[in-house]
Amino acid sequence: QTFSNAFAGFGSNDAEPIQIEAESLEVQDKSNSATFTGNVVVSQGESQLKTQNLVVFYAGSAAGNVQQSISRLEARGRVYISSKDQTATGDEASFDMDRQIMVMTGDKVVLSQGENVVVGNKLTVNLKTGKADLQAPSTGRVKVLIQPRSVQGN
Amino acid sequence: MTAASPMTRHRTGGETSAQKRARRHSRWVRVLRVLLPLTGLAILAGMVGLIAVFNYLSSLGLGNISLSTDGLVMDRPELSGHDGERSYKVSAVRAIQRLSDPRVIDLETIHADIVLNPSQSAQLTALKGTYDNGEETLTLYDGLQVSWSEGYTIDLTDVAIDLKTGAMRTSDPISIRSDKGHIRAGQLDYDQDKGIVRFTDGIRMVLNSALQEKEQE
Repeated sequence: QTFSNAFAGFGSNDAEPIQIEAESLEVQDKSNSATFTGNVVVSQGESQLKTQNLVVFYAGSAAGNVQQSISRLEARGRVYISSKDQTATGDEASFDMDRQIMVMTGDKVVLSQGENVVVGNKLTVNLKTGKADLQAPSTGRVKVLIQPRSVQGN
Repeated sequence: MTAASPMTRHRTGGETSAQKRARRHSRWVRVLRVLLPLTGLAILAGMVGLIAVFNYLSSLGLGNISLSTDGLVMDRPELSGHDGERSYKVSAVRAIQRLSDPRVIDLETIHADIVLNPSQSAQLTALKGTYDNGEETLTLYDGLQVSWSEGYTIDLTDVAIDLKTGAMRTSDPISIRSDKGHIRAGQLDYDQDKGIVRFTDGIRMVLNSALQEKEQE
């Protein structure tokens, strides 16, 4: 199951501005964190993240470029990530911007590209290469649904 | 034995109207005997109060003072105060002190310099404002702009500042712009002691990318 490096677009390219919309934002200077709550939508280029609660940790004061100073993002609550034709949904997702790794967890993590759907409980994506690695719940196996027509398409 | 049984009270109720008028008259006299001196005192106190206010105002380094219907009008007043590392200096083209409450001063065309801490300061300019000396709060509204030493410019319609704690609160939409991006929010609430800035009522934030920032420099 090959996946294009669609996810590579997210957060690692700094050519485009990041736009964040939410119902409220609380910036805590003391812990260098900013918490967005209420239908949070983060978009950059073709990538988009939707969640109910997003905590952004930034290094030092946001004196330099704010994007570079973001070290970690923690999303919680109906997390939906889409990039080009790929989407992933789960309960929680954390982005480690330094190591460019995104880990999404939840009792049903659904990764889909076009009509292909894969379900597991932990998705790890390398944001630079776009390599996505989905683990199955410890008991069951990864459920993979590949639409016949699309296999020739890849 | 009860002090007064119902029977006896009944008999006194039956006095003639003349007796009633007399008692009312004497009660009125008793009241006036107290009231008149009191009002005299009150007027005197008022005068003393006014003089105290004049002295207090002159200590604030005010321009010339004139009395107008809605209050004392001061030209080019400067009000300042400090508390530890926090200090504020508010100057205005005109200040009108309310006669009803001398601690409240309405200001016109205001410029305020507020030092939040040694590294952070804010300059506020506004067309109208109210400075409450008792509460040490400053509310600015009407054509207001705030520039923050961290390189941000804040456009908002009004802001209420607690000059003691440095806390700021707005009630209408605000936008904060800097070369790093901008935020638009329905409401801002800044608590300096806890170091928390809260944007509520819907926010939209854009973080410029490194490339954009270079173009802007």
